[in-house]
This record gives sequence, structure tokens and C-alpha cells, in this order.
Amino acid sequence: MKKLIYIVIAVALCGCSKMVEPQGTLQDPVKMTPEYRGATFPVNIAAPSFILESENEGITEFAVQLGREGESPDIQVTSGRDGKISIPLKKWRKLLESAKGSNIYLRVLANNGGQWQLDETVSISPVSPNPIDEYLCYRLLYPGYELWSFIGIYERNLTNYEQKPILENKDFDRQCINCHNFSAGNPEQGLMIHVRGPQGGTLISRNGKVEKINSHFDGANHGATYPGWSPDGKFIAFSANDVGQVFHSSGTKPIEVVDRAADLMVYNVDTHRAYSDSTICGGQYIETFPNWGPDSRTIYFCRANAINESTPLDSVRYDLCSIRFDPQSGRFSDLQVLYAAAADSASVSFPRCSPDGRWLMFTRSSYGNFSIWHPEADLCVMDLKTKQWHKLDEVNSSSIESYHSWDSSGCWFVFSSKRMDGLWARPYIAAFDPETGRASVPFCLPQKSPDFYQEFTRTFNIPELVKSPVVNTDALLHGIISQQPQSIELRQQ
Amino acid sequence: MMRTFQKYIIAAVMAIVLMIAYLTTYEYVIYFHEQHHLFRFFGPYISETIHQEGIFYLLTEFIVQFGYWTWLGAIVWTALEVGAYFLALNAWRRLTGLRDYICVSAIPTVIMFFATVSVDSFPVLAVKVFAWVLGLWLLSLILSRFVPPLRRRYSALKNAPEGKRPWIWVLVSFAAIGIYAYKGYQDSTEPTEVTTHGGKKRMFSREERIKQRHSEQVMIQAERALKDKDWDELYVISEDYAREGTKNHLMAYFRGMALYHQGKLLTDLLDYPQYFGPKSLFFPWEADRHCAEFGGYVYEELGAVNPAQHWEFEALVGWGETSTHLSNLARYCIAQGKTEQAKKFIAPLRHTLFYRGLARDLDRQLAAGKVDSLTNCLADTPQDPARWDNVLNLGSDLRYILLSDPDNDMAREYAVAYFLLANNLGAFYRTMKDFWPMPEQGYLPPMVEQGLVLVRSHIGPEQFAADGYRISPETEQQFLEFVTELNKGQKARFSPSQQKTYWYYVQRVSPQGRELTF
Repeated sequence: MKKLIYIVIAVALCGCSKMVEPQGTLQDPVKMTPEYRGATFPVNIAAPSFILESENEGITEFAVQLGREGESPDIQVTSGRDGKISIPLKKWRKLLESAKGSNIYLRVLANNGGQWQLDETVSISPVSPNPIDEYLCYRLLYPGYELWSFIGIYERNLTNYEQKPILENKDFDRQCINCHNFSAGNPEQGLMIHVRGPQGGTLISRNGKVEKINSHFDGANHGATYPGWSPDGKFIAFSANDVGQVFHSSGTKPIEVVDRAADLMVYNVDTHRAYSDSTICGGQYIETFPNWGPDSRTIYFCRANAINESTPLDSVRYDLCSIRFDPQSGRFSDLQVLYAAAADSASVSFPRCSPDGRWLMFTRSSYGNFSIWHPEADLCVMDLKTKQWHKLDEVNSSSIESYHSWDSSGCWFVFSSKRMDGLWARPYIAAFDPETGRASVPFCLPQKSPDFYQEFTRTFNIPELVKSPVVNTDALLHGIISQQPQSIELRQQ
Repeated sequence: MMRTFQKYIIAAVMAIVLMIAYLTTYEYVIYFHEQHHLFRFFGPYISETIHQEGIFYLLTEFIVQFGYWTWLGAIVWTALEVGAYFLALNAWRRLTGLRDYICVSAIPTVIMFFATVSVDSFPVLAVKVFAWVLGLWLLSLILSRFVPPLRRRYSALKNAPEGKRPWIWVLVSFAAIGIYAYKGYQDSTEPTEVTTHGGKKRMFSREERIKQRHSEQVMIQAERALKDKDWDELYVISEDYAREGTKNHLMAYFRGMALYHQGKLLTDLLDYPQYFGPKSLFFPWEADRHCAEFGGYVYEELGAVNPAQHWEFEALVGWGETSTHLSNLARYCIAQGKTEQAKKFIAPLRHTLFYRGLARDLDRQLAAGKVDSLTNCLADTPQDPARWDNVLNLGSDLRYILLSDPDNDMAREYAVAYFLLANNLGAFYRTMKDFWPMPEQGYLPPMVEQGLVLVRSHIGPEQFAADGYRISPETEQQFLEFVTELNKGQKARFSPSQQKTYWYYVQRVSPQGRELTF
């Protein structure tokens, strides 16, 4: 028994490594994947894990130290030459809580030829007192084109590493599910998912009850595609798109997803009526990606001139528009072009209005609307008071930034970026200042395993921040398997 | 003595028969499953597979990986199946206290065997049966020790004297196993409804299923030769298959590549009827995972890395992370200079038992920045304006490749063959004029000449001569004879050599009909 106690003590002592002191600085910077240094963290985010790499072959081990700015480190984690670092979750939480509203540092040291040296990369990170919505929903799938196999929509708890499936297509004959959307980031108030296949339809879940409607409304030219659920939970605006794919014969872009035609329509989830209007439905324009303002009266969307078979697809550009919707009459009015992007040789996709209604975030690329395949795609934000927009250079990279969503406070947003490798979209989180319209340095969704992003070969699609977990997953599955889709009639005003 | 050795005799014969079956008739099945699954010693993969497919699926993937060397895969399956026999026999004796005269304990082995010899189903059932037998044996161990009647009976059985003529029971056992095996075979070939590649369901008779298995075997052997770039082997396999006269798009596609690499595309292509027309040279993009698995190979051979990669991505989606798709994607990424993406595709290979060497080799190519025997002929093509693949029509892509890489012999021969098979003599002749002028000496390949004869009759001999083309006297004579036969109408009897001409293809075989486009 005594022996056992000694062994336990010895093991425990080995685990408590002494805080190393830097003796000089490193010549070559240490690469951190994903990069977390300098990012602004919400107080309730899970601890990051990452891999450290250096071209300096003299380095035998790494150490990472974290603490409050100006104070000695609270946490130290060491690793061998493989550089795999996992910050202990409990210590991390304690550190963030104590540093709420101030800064922490995350510094990297390397044992270079027996001497601990400091990496000089900027390591100060603000800790925001504003918590982020606790859950992130996304779809995971291989980055393919037309085929699909394993598809699932998942919900990740941002305060730890728990990921739960909302729906996985292994449970319903590998049919496709896509375009999950929430009302005001509240799954209880409204959750919508399209199902494509023999049991296809659009699942609409409200207050735990699930109904399935036919995605192709009677009288509509095409099936309901990209959704936007109004914050009051009463309406879903859909674009009805005729989507096609074309492949680049050469170069770095693989694919272009194009709309051959598209219209807008609004579906009333209470009355099961759908409305449209000649201003947003017809052959003159292609309208897509609807999103509501916080008043549930204004719809923001993207619009391009209609195309035909001879239109060069790299000349199709979308403007940023808005239109008013009257919930009583179902009528549309006051169509405005907020940003004539086409005239600026640019194209806009994914307008998302902030919860306070002042800021409109969108993706800007050189053409088309499916910006997730455009390396030049960047996030921008428009001040709806002044109609001035600027690029969010704080979060943009030389690679793709595309789909994004706000948290319920408007102080955080999540966006898809392919900056790690150009192929797989990963969710990045950034703080947003509702006063200035500027963002902070973003960070990649923390994972438990340091090499998660180096090994995981599925892409994160449509990251949506939500306030609470989805609880009626069984009802959603039952809705797919058992319910017959209800027909919806589209009324043209 | 005989009684003691009876089970070993049965097991030895069983092992020999199983090994022979696995190494001959069903070797391709071991290869097929190994090529479509990739076991990794990697936590997230293991937990994900258990979550998605279950523990038995994971265990089956573990076993299937040994098929990397088919002889090893055969040994592993044989060992498991013979092991199941011993376990079942021991469990039988412990639970019943009787001798297994009719070899009931061989039934799990028979079930396991037939569960492992079909490419249509992953052999999870075999692993489940083994696990079930193992569980039963463990249960019998406990019961025969702690339940007194069972313990007494088992003890009595062990001490029972050897009966008269024990070799008779060996023969009875073999006869019983033969009956089980026959039943297993009957069940595995019984008429069943099969979903064809077009998504339609059709009833397959027993004879059709047996024939289908033969086709599967040939296709998988051809696939193996293609992956190894063993063009001689692919040529032999595809010619043998073509000789059988079965319509098979995949084999026609393989044969096209094999013929090109043998320098025989434009001489031998029409030796057998090209029922699929221009599609015999490629797969149109139709969101079919079976086509996706092979559709990219022709583009890789052509040096068009982008479309090859598009197909390979679809294959990855359709079939999951297999060694072939991961390594192909890594190679394409290296060829395109996408190093970070290449690293991601190489990483899973490092966690495998048999593909670590491949991962190291890909790392070497990544460090060198180029791929062994792969050129990206469109690497320097201007990107503005964007140019899109024509996913349903190989011809326009072949012309695009030729515009960027006029010395691409395969693109040139494929383009000529494609437009001829498409009855599009206008595009054929444009391609000839743009990329294949008449050589100063000698003549063009027979299929080209046969196409040019038709072109000449359309544009006139003066223009044809002005363009610099000549037809050999042999082809002229052949054409006259063909026309003579053709003019006999319904009484026409074309000779075997006439049936191998382009004119015959147009008149009798082309899926586009006799209509020619200029």
C-alpha cells in the first residue's frame, strides 16, 4: 500500500512541471495551428488545443504559458517535439473568469538546444466580459459536389467540447439534409431544415412541434431553397432557386454554383400561406439569400440580373437590396438597392442583419453568389444608418471567408473560413463592437484534440449560433420518416 | 485415435478448401473490400465509425485491412472460420454432451464463408457470427463447469470409448458439410431484385447472378490493373472481356485507355462494337458513385488534373476515405501546388497498418513539389475569363486540352475517336486540321482514314486534297467493297473485317443512328 502511495505521489509530482523561464528569444517564429494568439475570447469559451511547429530542428520541446497580463503565468502546458498542446479546461475557465474585461497572454516557449527561448509573436488576448451564445449548430459533410454520403447537422456546446447530433442521415437512408435555420437563434421558437430525397420536404419545428411541408410551393417556379426565419418566428422568407454547378477546367477554384433563376417568397408558418410579388419574383432578376431585420418587417437579400445560356458566368454579380414586408396584407414595398455591388465589379452574398438592426454583414466576392468556393471572398459590414460599408479586415484572410451568423447579443459572430488549407471550411469566432462596427482578431472553434483540424476531413457548413440546445431531435426524425409533406400554395400579389 | 483426430482432419480439409477458394475464385472479393475500406489506428476515426456503423462494422474493417496482401486476408478469414468451427464444436460438446456426428458445428463456418465472398455486402455478418460463436463457447465453458448435469455429460463424453469404424463418421461429417455448403451456395445465388446503376430495380435470375459475378470479377481485376498502371494486363483483360460480347460501359472505358497505351486506339477500337458510342471513352457526370470511382482516371491520363480531382472528390464522398481516393487526391493537390490540402489527405494514411509507406512516398513527392508520372497540362492556362468543363461531352474538353497542350497525343487520339464515335464529322475534321496534319510519309490510322473518306465525300475531293489529306489505296478499296455490300440492303452480309470499320459503326452500331453531323 505504501509503495502505491509513493508511486501516486511520484506520478503527481512529475505531472506538476516547474514554470520555465525564457532565456532569450527565438529567431524563427513558431507556427500555431490553429492560431489563437491575439484573439479576443468570450468568457465562456472552451479551452483551445493546437499544434506548435518550428523549422528549427534544434527544438526538442515546447511550452505554452498563460496568465493575466502583467502577472506570472497561471497555466503551463508542455509538449515534446510534436508540439501538441491541450489547455486544461478547468484552469482555462478559471483564468478567463479572473481576467474578464482585461487581457491574458498566451506565450510560446521552445527548448532550443537546452535553453528555453520565447517566441515573439504577439500573445496578448482580450477576454470579453460578454458571453457568447452557448451553442453552435453546423452541418458536417465531405466537401463534394453532387454526391453525398454521411451528412449530419450537429450542435456543439461552446463551453466544452460536447457535440450532439441533431439529425444524421444514417437514420433515414442517407437522404440529404441542408439549410438549417433558426428564428432569432432560438431553436425552440423556430428551426427549419430541408430534406432532399424520397422522404423530402421542409421540416418546420416550433415550440417542440414538427411539421413537414412540401418544399416546392404550388405556383412557385422552383423549390424553396435558402431560408431566413423572421425574428418574431412568424415568417420564413425563402429564395426559390434553380441551382446548377459548373466546374473550372483549370486554376485553383474548383467549382462555381450558379443560380439559373431564383425568386423570393415569404411563408407564414401560422396560416400556411406563402406570398410573393412581381418585384421579387419574375424573369428580370435573380433574387436570393433572404434575411430579416430585427423588426421582422424588412427583408435583406441579394439580386442579380437574369441570365441566359450565353451569359458568361463570371460576369454574374449580385447587388445588396432590401424590401419591406407587410405581415397583415402579405404585400411587399419599398425595394431599395443598398449597395450596387455589380457596378463596383463585385458581388454580394449572405446578408445577415445584426440583432440591434444597425449592422448588415455580408460576403463580398468578385462574381457569383456561392462565395464558399471563392478565395477572394471577404466579410464586410454595412452601417444601415449611413449605408456605408467597410471590409472587416480584422477577420479576413487571403483565403475564403463566407457564411456567417450573429449571436443573440450582437457582440459575437461566427463565420466560415478556409484559411487553414483552402478546402475545408472551419468555424471562426470573432467579437464585434456594435458601436464602431469593427471586429476583433478571430479564433477557430476550439477542439479537444490538438490535431483535430489536421485530421478531420469533413467541412463545417452553415455555422449558426443559438442560445439553447435543440431538444426535440426525436420529433425531427419522426417528422422526416413518418410525416407526409403538406402542400403550400404561393399567392402572387 | 480416429475420434481424437476427426476434428483436426475436418479442420485441415476445411482450411485447405477455404484457402483455395479465397486465393482463386474469390481473391477479387478480398481485394475489393480492402480497397473500399481503410482501418486507422486513430481515436476519432474509431469513435466515429462505431457511432455511424457500429462495433462489428469497425471490427470487420480491422479484419478487411489484411486483404492488402490478398494471401494474408485469405489466411485471416480462414483462421477465423476454422476457429469458429473449433469453438462451435467445443460448445456443442459441452452443452449437449453428444458427438457432433452431422457436423452442426461447421454451419457457422459455412455462413461466415458465404458472407465474405460477395462484393455486394460488406462481411459484417461473418464477424457477427464469429462473435456469436465465441460468446456461445464462453457460455458453454461456464455452464459445463457449474451446471452439474452438463458437467457430468461432458465428462462422460470425454471418457467415452471410441466406437466401431470411426472413419465412417468422418465421411458423414464431410457429406454434411457438403450439404451445408451446397445450401449456402444456393442461397447466395438465389434470384433476387437488384438495383442497377440507373437506379432501376430488376429481378436477376440465378444464371444472371452467376454471370454478374463473373463480370464483377473481371471488372475488379481490370480496376486493379488500371490502378497499377499495368496497361499490358489491362489490355489483355479488356480484350478478353470484349471478346465475350457483353455490353459493359466500365470495361469499354477501360479498354479505351488500354488501347491507347498499347498504341492501338485508332486501329483496334472498332474491333468490337462500340455500343456506348462516344461514352465508351469516358463517364458523363451523372452523380453516380459507381461512375465517380473511375471517371477521373481518363482525365489523369490526359493530364487534366482539375477534372480528375472533381471526380476523385465525388468518389471520396461516395465511398469514404479509402487509400486510393486519399492518395489520388493528395497527388492531385501536389500537382496543383495545394500543399496544405495534400497534407490533409496524406495524414489518414499514416494511421494505417499498410499504407504508411505510401504516406512517406507522398510526403517525398510533396517535398519535391511534383508528382511521379503526373503532369498538369493545364497548369499555365489563363484563368480569366473562366472556362468551365463540359461534364457531359468529353469532346470540347479534349479540344480545350489540345489548345493548351497541342503535343498531348492522348488528347489528340481521344478527340478524334470521340468525335467519330459521336458521328460528329465536322468536329472530327476540325480537330484533324487543327492538331493532326497529314504526315509527309505514310498514312493515318485506319479508323481516321475511314472517317476521312466520309468527310471527303461531304466537302469534295478538291477541298480535301487542298487540306493536304490522303487516303491509302487499301482503305479506298475497302470502302468500295463496303459500299457494294451496303447497297444490297437487307441482303447485305458484312465480313468480319467490314464489321470492324467506322462505316459499319455508323450504319449498324452507333447509338446516335446513321445521322452524321458536319
